[in-house]
Amino acid sequence: MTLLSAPVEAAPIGRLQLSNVPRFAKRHPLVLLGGGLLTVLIALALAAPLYAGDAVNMDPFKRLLPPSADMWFGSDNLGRDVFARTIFGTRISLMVGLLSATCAAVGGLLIGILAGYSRAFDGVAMRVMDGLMSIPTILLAIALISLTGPGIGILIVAIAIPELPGVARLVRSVVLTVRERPYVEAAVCGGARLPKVLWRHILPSTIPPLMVQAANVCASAILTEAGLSFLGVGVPPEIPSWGNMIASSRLYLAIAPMTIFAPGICLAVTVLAVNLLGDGLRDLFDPRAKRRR
Amino acid sequence: MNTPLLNVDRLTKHFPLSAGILNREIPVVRAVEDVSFSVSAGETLCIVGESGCGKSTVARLLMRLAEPTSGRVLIEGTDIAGLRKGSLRTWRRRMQMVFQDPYSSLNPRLTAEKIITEPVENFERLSRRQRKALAADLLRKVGMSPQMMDRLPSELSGGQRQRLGIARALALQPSLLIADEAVSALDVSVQAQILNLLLDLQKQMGIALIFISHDLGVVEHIGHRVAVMYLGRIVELAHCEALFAKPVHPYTEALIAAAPIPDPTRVRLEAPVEGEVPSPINPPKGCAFHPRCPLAVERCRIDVPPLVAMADGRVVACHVRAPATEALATTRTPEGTAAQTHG
Repeated sequence: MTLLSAPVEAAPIGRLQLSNVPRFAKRHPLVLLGGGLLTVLIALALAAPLYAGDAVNMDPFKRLLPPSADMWFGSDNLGRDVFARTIFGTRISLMVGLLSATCAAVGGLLIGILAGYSRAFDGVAMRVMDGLMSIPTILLAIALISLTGPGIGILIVAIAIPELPGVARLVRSVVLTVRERPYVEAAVCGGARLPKVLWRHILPSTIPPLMVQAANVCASAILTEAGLSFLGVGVPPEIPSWGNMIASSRLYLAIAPMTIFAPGICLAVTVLAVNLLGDGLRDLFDPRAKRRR
Repeated sequence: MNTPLLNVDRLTKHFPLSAGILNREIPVVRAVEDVSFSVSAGETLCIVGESGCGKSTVARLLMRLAEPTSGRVLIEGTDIAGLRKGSLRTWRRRMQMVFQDPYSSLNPRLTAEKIITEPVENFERLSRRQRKALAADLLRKVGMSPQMMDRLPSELSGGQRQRLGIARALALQPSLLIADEAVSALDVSVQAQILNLLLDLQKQMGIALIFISHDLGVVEHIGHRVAVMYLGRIVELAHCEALFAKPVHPYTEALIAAAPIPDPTRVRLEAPVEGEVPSPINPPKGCAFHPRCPLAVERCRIDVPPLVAMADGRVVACHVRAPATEALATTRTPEGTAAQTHG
């Protein structure tokens, strides 16, 4: 039994070597594809000021123009460059997605580890998490934003909070299984203090599932941000974001389809990239999931 | 005889089974019941018994990986069962444990060096160089090459992993080593190597050893004294040769008779005991062994037999073979006599 289960469980990722790269690519194409796409998007977003032009400048004489050499994706109802707005929108989406995922992951990790180790904290924290789970994401976001006024910071917090319970429960379940492992007991016997046991022996096991979950949170955060912006409670309207763009140009779909297709397609591609990366990571960290197919 | 290194006094562990809040009586698993023994410096005490008889729970209680329900564990006179976390840490240095499964008892993400030096680093800061030196020293002690220190557990064989487990236990220079089924996950040739390693280390460093096993062959080979457990209680505690030459308790007798003899020409006695081990949730009244015992009399169904000291120093809990009137010993200090005859 131990012989069968040990290699699957133990399989730590081998030391990184350049010669392993082609084999890695062949085995985990999803990681490469999703990661690659995401890297390109991040690069495009970071370099936006260098090539994208002005995303805010309005020109009433150039409204709803078709794509041209000057404005690749044409212009919107206020005469703004759709290409520039789409590119700058990438920054908002990725920032909201990545930061919400980070917040949810860090917060959920802390709550999950403490809940997994302390019975007393577990009871309280998990009931609070149950409560959070019952609040619809969009509703919570609308409520929070109407309290403070629109802003990217509050948006990130509003998106991250409803994701906390999922992450916390996941981490807690890993901690509950790992803390019973003999090597954790051995560490305790060796005189390790609790923080060291948690940090050195328990935390590392929670990272792989946490990363997969964070990728999922990131994808859904990007969608939620777009949805909230579309409803007008997300990113302030003067900042170009995909949700804002789709909302303001939905009336002009027949006249200037690029105004809606550009942000729409970008949104789809970004979420796809993040999801592919998430799936790829899941297969990478759990060899059993892959083999079963 | 001066104070023994370890004195275990009436150690008891009940695991409550979680039942509904409305149930007034919570059923408990009586894993360890009234277990007393002592271990002197440099001695090997073996604890044998079937699976589920409480051997491993005793080990976990000694290391305080589980909290005893009652009873005391005295190391050099200090009761560690009542210690708080801080002082417990320092007392744990005196006792270390080798775990059963060499596959799951090593953190798969740490190198051999980090695994075996971690206990020391819990108590003092080591420089990189000191750590390497310590790791090399420990690896040599357990018969491994210092070059192995950069390996991950997954890159080592079962025997090598168990050597690492022993090296980790030796790192704090304990005076008592608890080996909980330390060789049963290994194949026979490797078992012999690990056993010899343990015995060599014991001789060199004068460590006392509590060796928990279900393998009587191994126990006969290494034990000074042997405690036989049945359903959470010690039924017989005797010197190794005496126990194997002439078991007194009918359970010990059956256990020894049931052990395989590595000689096809010798005919084994028919197993004198029938039936299964009863559940520790609701153990039989009186002597726990009476439903399976060929000698059982009426009294066995009513009274729990006390541990009674016999003439040769062993203690036995049996109404028939060791009637309490025969000796003055009481259950409170069965060790008094047993320890005197030792060494």
